[in-house]
Amino acid sequence: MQKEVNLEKVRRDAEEAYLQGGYHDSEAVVHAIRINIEPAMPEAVVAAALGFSCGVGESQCMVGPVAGGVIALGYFFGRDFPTTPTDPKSQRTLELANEIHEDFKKKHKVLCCHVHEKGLTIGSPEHKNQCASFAGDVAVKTAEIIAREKGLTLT
Amino acid sequence: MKKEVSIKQVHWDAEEVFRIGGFYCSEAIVSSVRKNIDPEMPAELVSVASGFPVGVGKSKCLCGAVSGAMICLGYFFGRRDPASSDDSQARKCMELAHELQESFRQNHKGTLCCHKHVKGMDMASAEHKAQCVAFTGEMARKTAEIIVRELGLKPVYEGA
Repeated sequence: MQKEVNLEKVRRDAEEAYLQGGYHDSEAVVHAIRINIEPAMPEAVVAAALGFSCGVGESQCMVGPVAGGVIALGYFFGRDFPTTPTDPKSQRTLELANEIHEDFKKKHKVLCCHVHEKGLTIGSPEHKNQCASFAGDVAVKTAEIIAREKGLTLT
Repeated sequence: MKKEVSIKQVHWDAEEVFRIGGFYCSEAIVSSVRKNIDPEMPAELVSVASGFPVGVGKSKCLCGAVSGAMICLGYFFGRRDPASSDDSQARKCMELAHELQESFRQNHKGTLCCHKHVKGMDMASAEHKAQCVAFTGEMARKTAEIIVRELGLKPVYEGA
């Protein structure tokens, strides 16, 4: 794991992966976290984000980048064996996921892709720039949480 | 990867580990798919599901069972290197993701919103738990059916 994280680079990497790199919005967030914080993260974790893009299987439900952020958090803080519903590790992961959700809501009011896309032409520069900026925002918030919880230095 | 998959076992294992409180919905689905279809799946894929329960970190947004199913589809049909792979692979995965979420909508009031499904329910009630256990089993089953169909595995319907 990297000891230092540059949040502006995290934002730029997420946005560029989406706009120019062939990544979908949800994948772009996990990718930016992977290359900036934990290059040892299996690529399968980035792959796990794909189905969430464009609001969960293109159904315009929850915005893809938030799912990408929650996937990245799960990688660092989640559990891979059964415990109990009140396991502090599990509860803490849920709190951190909630923090990403609430942060997005505070900045953009709702999580629903169909609300954000209303009036936009899918695939237009305006639409793509909005998705890229959502991916950048969530990647930065996710990186901030990981850095805070793991004691990494922000640069 | 197993060549034969008991769909019932995938369904039952996902429900059971959630029912007894070992995992929440999304984790239970990934864990059951891993155990019954591809034990070589890295255990981290179960961990990545840990933030999604109760509609993403208890925010009652996107149903956690649907999220668990999406993680499984991404693992099997997603891309290991999006930058260099062509988009047709992503399109196929997105079609399967669309099919999966659509099956949930058709069975459950047309929505993936947790808050609509738990409206009027006490979150600590047996009624709420039973609904989420059933959603978990249903999504595990549907995920397994799609994986088996797409990868040409042999479905086995006895067991569990």
